[in-house]
Amino acid sequence: MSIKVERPGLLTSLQDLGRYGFQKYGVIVSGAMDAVSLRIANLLVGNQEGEAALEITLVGPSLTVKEDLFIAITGGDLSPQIDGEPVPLWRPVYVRKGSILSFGACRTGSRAYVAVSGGFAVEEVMNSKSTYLRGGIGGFKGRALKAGDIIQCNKMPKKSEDLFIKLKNKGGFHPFAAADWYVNPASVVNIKNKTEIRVIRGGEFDHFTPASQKQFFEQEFKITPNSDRMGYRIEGRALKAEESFELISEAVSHGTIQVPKDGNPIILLADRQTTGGYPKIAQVITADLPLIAQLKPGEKTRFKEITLEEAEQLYLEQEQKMQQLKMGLQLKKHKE
Amino acid sequence: MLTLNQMKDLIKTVDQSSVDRFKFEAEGMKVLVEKIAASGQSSERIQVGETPENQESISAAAAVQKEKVDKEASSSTDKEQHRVLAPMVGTYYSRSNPDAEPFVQVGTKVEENQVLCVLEAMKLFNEIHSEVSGEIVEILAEDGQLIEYGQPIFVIKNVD
Repeated sequence: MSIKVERPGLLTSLQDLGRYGFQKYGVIVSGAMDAVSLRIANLLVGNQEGEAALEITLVGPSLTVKEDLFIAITGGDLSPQIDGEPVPLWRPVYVRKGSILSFGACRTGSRAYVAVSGGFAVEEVMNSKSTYLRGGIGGFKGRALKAGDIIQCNKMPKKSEDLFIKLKNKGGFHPFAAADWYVNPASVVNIKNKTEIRVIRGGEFDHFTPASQKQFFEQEFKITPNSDRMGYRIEGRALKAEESFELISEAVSHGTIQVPKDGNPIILLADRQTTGGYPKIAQVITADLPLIAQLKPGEKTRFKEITLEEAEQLYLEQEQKMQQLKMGLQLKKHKE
Repeated sequence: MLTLNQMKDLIKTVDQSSVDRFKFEAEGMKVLVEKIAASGQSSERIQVGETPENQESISAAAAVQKEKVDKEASSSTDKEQHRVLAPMVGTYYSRSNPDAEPFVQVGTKVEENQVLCVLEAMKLFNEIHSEVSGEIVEILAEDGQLIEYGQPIFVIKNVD
């Protein structure tokens, strides 16, 4: 089974949940920007939740499906279509051999994930299939997809076969068929408040002037076009530190918000460097990282402070919902 | 929510009346009091159903209610009207998201296989399709209500 890339889109790369354990050698984590969407896409097609899938950014690719395929598309709504017909998101979908999966306007969010049942047949590099774009390792030949690429897919797991066959029969000669059930991402991620990102204070919060501290939680910040998988540069009224000071570089994490000298913060994301020396004003809570990943340049966001305990609680709740979803899917598969 | 005393009063009143079956629904609460004349002697059964927000139920009564629901379902072979029964336990939603238009309303003409509502269970949203074409004459569920297996959700009138 394979997929041929007709048009690559703006930035389409293979990502899993990241390459952990090598940051001490300077190897960045990478992985999906919106890990929740990636995990759900995988679960819908019967994969392990951390399997690598295609991460599609703002302008989607055009892909020819060489053999019958079982897929799920999650994340932002980039108007996916198969042979010109809209495909619903967040559902298992059977795609008929020879059909073309393409994307249109970016309606909500900015990143979509396409998982195939069985996963993509690429080698793991340092325990991960994620593409480290700047380092040129992992994923498909260490790079984003290009026109003409042919990516092989693995055989689908046994447990997915029943649903696949059921959908295939439903599809008939149609280019695709989607299940009549779906996952609502709002039941896992706080999409209702997607422009209010919750944070906890960072290590150097107290180094900022009281006015800047206040301003950080009150003003809106705009995502600048100078934002990518490494980090989002956001701008508002510039934030000032009490006195100019230099830090010795130290570890940073997914969602760390640094403030360089110009006073405009940077939110560090999937392809972040391993260490940073700018003062850290805040840290985005893990449960809200998927929301950041779906913001696009030009959109605005605010930050809301919560405590570490609340952040942990929200994370645990989110994971509990994921567990519930996993169990629900298992029961579903048994019933089909 | 009724207090215990109110409930006792209710049972007494029904018992002393000529009413055989009394059903009351308000604010997500359902009360059904029914006289069952088994072997000549009359006895009452009371059932309370609740929405998930303040869940509390009498489990024995729930089982009885389910049996009844199934019976109702099998007896609804009326040609004019078709009842759409829940194929699973789940939370009822009339629309795909809070800002969307409801899938159907009373008066909506539906086709066979059209999506009528979604039932959520274990974070999965299951579309409920119409088995017949016709017109929706009654919607028996409210948004957020927990629906039992076999519970009627819609009444569809055959228009042709």
